[in-house]
Amino acid sequence: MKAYIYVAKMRIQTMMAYRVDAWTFMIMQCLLMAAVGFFWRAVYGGAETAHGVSGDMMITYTVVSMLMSSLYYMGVEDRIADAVKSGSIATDMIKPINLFSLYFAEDIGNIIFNLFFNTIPMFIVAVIIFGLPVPASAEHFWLFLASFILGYGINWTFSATFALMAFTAIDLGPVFSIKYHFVNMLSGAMIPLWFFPEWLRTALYCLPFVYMFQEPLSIYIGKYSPAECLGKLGIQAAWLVGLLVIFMFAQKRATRRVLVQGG
Amino acid sequence: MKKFKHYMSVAALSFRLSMQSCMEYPAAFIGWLISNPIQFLVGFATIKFVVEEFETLADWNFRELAFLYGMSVLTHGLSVIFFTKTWYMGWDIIHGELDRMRLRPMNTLFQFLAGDLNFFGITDLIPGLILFIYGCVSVDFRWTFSNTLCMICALIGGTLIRGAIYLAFGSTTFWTKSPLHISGFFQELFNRTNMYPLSMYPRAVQFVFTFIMPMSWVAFYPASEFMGKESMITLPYGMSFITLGLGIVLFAIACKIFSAGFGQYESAGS
Repeated sequence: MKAYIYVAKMRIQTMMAYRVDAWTFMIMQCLLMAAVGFFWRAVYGGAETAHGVSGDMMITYTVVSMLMSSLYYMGVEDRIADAVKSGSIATDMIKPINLFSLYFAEDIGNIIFNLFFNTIPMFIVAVIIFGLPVPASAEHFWLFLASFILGYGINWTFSATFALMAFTAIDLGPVFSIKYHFVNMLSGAMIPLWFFPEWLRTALYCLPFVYMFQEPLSIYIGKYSPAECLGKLGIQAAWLVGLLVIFMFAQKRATRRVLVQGG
Repeated sequence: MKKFKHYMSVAALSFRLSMQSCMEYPAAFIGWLISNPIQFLVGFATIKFVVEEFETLADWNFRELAFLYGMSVLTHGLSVIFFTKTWYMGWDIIHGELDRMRLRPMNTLFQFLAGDLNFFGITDLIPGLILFIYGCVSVDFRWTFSNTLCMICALIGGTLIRGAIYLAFGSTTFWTKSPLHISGFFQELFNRTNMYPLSMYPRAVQFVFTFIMPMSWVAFYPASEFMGKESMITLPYGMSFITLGLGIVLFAIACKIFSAGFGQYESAGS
């Protein structure tokens, strides 16, 4: 455990060295948040509610979605791709701790860094522009928090499994970009799924993406009753376990045939 | 004239080189050819699903929004072909890449921009063209002589405005000696103020992007003239010419900034 805490701490220190990058990224995220918020405000115009959600709830949805995505930074993806490409995976593998736990510990470091350099500043900006994004109730807030943690787990496991492709293919730039835009769209991070056509929505509820953004956010704005929320948490947990099993299986196969090019 | 011909032949040659270097890794090229359009598809789907629900966005209906979106993505695609160099120019400057251009008997800025035309930009240009054609068809855009002329002016102007901002801010590295990772920020700003109607923002924001940082002229103002929309500035005719004029002026200023920076810059050693 001590080793992992050390890794996370190292990661925070590394990120501190790139503070300017973090600030520019933060400003961009704020911009996006403001733009999407105003988009919803304009689109609602006179309308009271759509699909049982009011304009204010939609702005809360957007703000919290942006805050979530700043914490959902999946360093593991680039980490694996870079490590395989540069060959530093070899030194990572001979460390006396599990390879993927190492990457997970690094991402915990990323979360802590992002919380202070991204999420909190963004939250302040959001409060200034749109007011406080209040959850439906205190109960919903705690359920959201649980759902958010499960959502993080699903997202991390999925990204890590996805990044294992780096072991076989070398240039993953475009693939990651496709994945990023797809997940953004299919998880309801940008627009909630209730605006999608029926057939697409039904299909998407069979995939894990909605459990990364859409469901935690729906809980936050109070689209479900607390009892229903517990059911959602159950499905999230099931997805997390399922994805973890796939990941365990895949990582065993992938790491067996590591091919380090040069050094 | 002879000089002009010479410059054109150099540009053509460099474009061919860039095409060849892209084709060296066809898999990567095809990957980007698939992945780049997706982000625009996602943005477009957002408009479609949401605006169909509410019918209008700041008085623009879906067809008109498609037209605006198409114009905006097309100017983006064009700017990627001609000006991608400027996104990373900070690196080129601190790594002394510009030094060798100084030794050649040709305009430096021309060498810098045309010396590495970005064939990869085609992966952004293709979705731009498709969305543009889709938008024009869906609003039944009439290609009369005056409309065509206005459209050409708007597209050239819009591309130049984008390029000018990238070039001007990229040139700051000549003085600061450290690269500025700011092109993504400006791309986002351009997209947010042109892919959606500017009139959906509070008036203060509209004012900033109309007069102080005139970014909305890239596509929003010309498109709102074509569509006959009210906005912060409403002119009966000639928005596209303002776009073109603004593009030329801003680009000229950006060139001046580049030359001034390049003139006083003393390489980076190594």
